[in-house]
Amino acid sequence: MEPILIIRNLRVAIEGREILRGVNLEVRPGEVHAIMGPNGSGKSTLAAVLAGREEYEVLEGTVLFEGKNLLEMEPEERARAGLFLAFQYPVEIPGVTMATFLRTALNEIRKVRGLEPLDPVAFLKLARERMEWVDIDPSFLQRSVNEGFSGGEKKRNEIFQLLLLEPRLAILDETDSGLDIDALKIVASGVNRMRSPERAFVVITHYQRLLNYIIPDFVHVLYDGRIVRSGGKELALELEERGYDWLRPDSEEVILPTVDER
Amino acid sequence: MNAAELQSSLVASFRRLEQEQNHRPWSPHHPLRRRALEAFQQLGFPTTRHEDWKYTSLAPVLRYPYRVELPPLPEPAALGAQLPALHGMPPVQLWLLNGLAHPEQLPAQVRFASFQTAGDSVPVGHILPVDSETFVALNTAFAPDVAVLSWRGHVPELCHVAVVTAPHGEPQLAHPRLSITVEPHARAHLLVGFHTAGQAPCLTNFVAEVSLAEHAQLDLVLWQTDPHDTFLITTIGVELARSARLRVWTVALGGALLRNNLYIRLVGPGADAQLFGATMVTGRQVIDHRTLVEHRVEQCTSNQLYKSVAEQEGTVTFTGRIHVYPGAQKTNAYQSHRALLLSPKATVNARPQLEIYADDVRCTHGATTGALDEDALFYLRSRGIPESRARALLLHAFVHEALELLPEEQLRQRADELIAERAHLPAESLS
Ligand SMILES: Nc1ncnc2c1ncn2[C@@H]1O[C@H](COP(=O)(O)OP(=O)(O)O)[C@@H](O)[C@H]1O
Ligand SMILES: [Mg+2]
Repeated sequence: MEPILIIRNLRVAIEGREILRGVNLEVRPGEVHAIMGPNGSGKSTLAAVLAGREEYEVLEGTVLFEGKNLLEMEPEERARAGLFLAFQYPVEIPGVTMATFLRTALNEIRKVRGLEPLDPVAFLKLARERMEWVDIDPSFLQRSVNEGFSGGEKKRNEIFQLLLLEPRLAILDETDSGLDIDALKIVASGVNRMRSPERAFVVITHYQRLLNYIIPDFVHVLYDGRIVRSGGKELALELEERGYDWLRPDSEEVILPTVDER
Repeated sequence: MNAAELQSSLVASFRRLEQEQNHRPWSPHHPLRRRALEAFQQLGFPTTRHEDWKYTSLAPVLRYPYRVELPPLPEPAALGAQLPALHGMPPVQLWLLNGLAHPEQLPAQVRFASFQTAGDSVPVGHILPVDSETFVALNTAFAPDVAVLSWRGHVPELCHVAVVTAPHGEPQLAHPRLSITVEPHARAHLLVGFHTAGQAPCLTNFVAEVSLAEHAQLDLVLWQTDPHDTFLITTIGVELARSARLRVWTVALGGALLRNNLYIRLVGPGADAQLFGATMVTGRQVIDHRTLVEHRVEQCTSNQLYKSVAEQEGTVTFTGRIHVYPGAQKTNAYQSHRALLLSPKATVNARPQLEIYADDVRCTHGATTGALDEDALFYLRSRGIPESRARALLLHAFVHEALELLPEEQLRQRADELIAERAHLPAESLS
């Protein structure tokens, strides 16, 4: 099957410092890829560049999303094309209610999918159903986006949005960090519910823990701006045991990245 | 015409009116009017050299040869249809047409009187001294009428006063005036809307004196959304007795130049004043808010929250003074002006002024001016919302905060729609 996402030799800098130093990745429909790596290795940078943050400078490389040049698209076009990022740090937006925000977003996305906009009643019905899946109280629809939400609520809210917007490719940036085991299970079950042959996931995480609940097809290690190793789900366990140091580019065991060995 | 010429032309008009007495109820306050005119002659029009007018030049306002004589008046009934700004608003219960009062169906518990009916017994100058400021003096000298409204008991019904300046082919200067009393324990809801009907340049110089008795409550909404390029200066003085409660919302979106002077005097312990402002300027609009909250006695509270957005070449000015008198212990006074500056040619001036002469006082103020939150913008866009819509949502949310507590659902919704319109946000997305 055609990949949803192809990243080739992506080099990205911010404030003159190169953060991603040649990333290669292919994601096909139905697959779950985990990207692991120590803090500061560039995981969030990769996610942000894919979602369209403008302050990053792309030095080199291409990103194709369903065959289209992703880097040329506005953030909202990417979302409407089916890309979704669950933020590591969801943003608080005082004064904009969840209902207004998500009905506007959903109707924009429905428009490009050729669907009629949902009226407030139909939206409410759908939103309530999806909120239940991740155990968020429907009263949150009347609250300002993320304002005053606890850390866990913010993360579950990201997954709720994923469930509502039904993207083709979802990138989860450390959605597990700061969650207790129950919240983690809720988040994972939300994601698992969405797994389908048409949809793909890139799960960025620092710990192996989440991958007990969202079983990945592939695990990649991002280290200092490069994918230094790729493997199956066992790689996550190995990382859990051995840490990341043995993968340091100057360590003996280094395995240079190759373009997708599958 | 310039300010000095306008000043002498106004003085000449005064002399003429004095003789002709074209304003019917001219006489009861004749000595007071004379004093006011003298004050006006002495004070002159303020320039930007005056500390209180540092950021707002009246030059563009004072260049027209305004007439102060009353032109033929339009029919209030016909006016309603003529003023688009009244659409979606509650019915008008009192018109001030070029300053003359025309009551319609006022709520039963609201007593109405005016110069025309009550003459001498109408209070004038009891809250705002006639010789204190140019525009108060001018209004006192020329006001053709004073509409007196007094509330007794709890009147849940909103009272809507429409202040309309209707020129007749030439520039018009109007002096509408209100005198408001809320009696002990009474509760009042008042909406004052400012409009112009007609095309010639207009300057509306509005004055209101408001007196809140013990435990009285007043919710006052000032509706300044007129789409015309007109000039409006309002001066409102409010005195609050023991445990009285005042809330004022100023919705300032329209007009070429607006200046609002809001003077609050807390003279009874336990009095509380809350002032809110929602302001948006675009084009070359100038909107200038000046507030003064005087804590004259102990245990009073006050709060000011103004939210402003300046686009294109617009200017917003906020000067907020809190004055805590000696002995006004246990005062709580807050003030905040938050502004979004959306274009390099727009201007925001914010000046908090605190004068505190008591020691057991909690007083905070804050003024911020910034751009839209880029992270919030990106978050919205990353969910598929187009940039323009995302901006509009954020703008609307920003301004709306100042109106959150507005109790009248209809007004809050209408204000929301107008703000949304200004932010280019389709109304259907407000749900
Ligand atoms: N907006 C930014 N401005 C400056 N430096 C940044 C910015 N975003 C990321 N960085 C830097 O890029 C590096 C990678 O960060 P990040 O992508 O957040 O890593 P990770 O998500 O893997 O922890 C870090 O050294 C970080 O300080
Ligand atoms: Mg990160």
